[in-house]
Amino acid sequence: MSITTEKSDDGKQVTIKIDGRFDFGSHHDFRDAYRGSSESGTLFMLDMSNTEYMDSSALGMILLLKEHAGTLGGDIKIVNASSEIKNILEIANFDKLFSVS
Amino acid sequence: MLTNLIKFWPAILTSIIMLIVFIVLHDVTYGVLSMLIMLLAWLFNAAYALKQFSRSSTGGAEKADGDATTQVAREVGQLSFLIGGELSSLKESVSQVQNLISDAVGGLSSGFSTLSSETRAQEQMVMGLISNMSDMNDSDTDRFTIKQFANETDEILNYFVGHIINVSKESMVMVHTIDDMVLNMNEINSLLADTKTIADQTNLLALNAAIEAARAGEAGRGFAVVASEVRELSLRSNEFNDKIKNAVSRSVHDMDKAQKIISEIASKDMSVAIKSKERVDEMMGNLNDMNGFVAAKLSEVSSITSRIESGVNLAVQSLQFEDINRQLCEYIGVHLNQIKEHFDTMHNQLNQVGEDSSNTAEVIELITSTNQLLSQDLEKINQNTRQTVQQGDMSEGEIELF
Repeated sequence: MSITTEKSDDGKQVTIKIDGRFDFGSHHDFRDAYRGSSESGTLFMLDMSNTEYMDSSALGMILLLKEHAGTLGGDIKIVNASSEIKNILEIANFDKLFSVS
Repeated sequence: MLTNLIKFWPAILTSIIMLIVFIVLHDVTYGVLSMLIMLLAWLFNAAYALKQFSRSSTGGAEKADGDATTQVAREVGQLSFLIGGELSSLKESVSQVQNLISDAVGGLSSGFSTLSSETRAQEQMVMGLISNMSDMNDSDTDRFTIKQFANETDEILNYFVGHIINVSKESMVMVHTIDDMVLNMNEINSLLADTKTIADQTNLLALNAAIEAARAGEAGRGFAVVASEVRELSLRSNEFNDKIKNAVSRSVHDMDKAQKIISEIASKDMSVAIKSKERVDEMMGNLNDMNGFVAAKLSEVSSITSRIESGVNLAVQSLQFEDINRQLCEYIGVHLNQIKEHFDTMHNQLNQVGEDSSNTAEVIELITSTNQLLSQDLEKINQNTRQTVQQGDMSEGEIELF
């Protein structure tokens, strides 16, 4: 498990890349990845191209990120999700909350 | 006798052929026609034989002529008697055929009407099933259908998935709070380190004060007591500091335990939910397929049932041939009677002629006149039969009841 964060120059787009397992063990790193961003209207991109597994705690963390983005007037977007990950996101109806691709 | 019979070979041959035709075709109309042809053959054969006989006997002795004429008259009379008997048995057969057909048609009629009503009942059942099937696809109905069951299962599943995610989210909030608390505890620890430094410095200060008090001698005795008290306070402060430190470390340890418990609550594998959802989706798909299949088969059954019904109707309609047959049989009976009467008359008259041993001319005249009467009657029979057969043509679907 590793989480890397990239911020655009204007600080309005934060890309969080999650590799390996995305579960309870990631909570600390994941929270740190977005906690520092307080620019209003920030778009958080979750790059899940290398995410292998995701459990319900990961879904809870994404919802917290969504709340955080909401307080900033921003949004979140999940990109490069594999079919298994997409399946989990669809079961959770996340595809209706924000863009999943 | 045998030579006389040989003279009638064309009539015998025709009779055999006609009988074969009747047996092979087995039809009342053909029966009547073949019988008439048989009759004509016998009559013409008889007339021909008589002519030959009279021709051969002309110029012969008057006695011989009279004997021959008597013999011919007797033979023809005998022939008429035989044919009359045949006609009686034919009439009986015709009435038997009529009865048999009537019985069979009665049975067939009741069988077909039962078939028709059962078919109608079956069609109604199928229609009921079809309307049930369409109701199943209609969500407005109050009835609890399998589709609704699947929908509700799906809803329940969604509810539980939502619940799990919500619990996970709240747990993560708790975990974050605990993280923050641990940070606060660490801050308390660092603050405690500061107070320990102060206590240590106070202790050192008290020690220095005690040394200075001892150097002052008697004058510093009071100050030495104060210095000792201050030192005591700094030691107690350190002791207190250690206790707080222990309490904080125990709290951090407890928080770690709490986080582990929350981790158990928050981390749920989603594959169970995914599999359940897939099964529900599969069930819905199968159900739709099954509904479609059953509906298609039911409408097929329905169309088969209507085809059966129209077939039964056609059969019932066709059964009206019994009326035509009965009519034909009645005609046959009437005309058989007529012919029998002719032959009876001919038989009687010829027998009389034979007894009186009259001349050949009288016998020929008698046979000729009887033949003429018979041929007129036969013409009538033919006309009536032709009419009935024309009326009996049912291919146009119009049944003329007569």
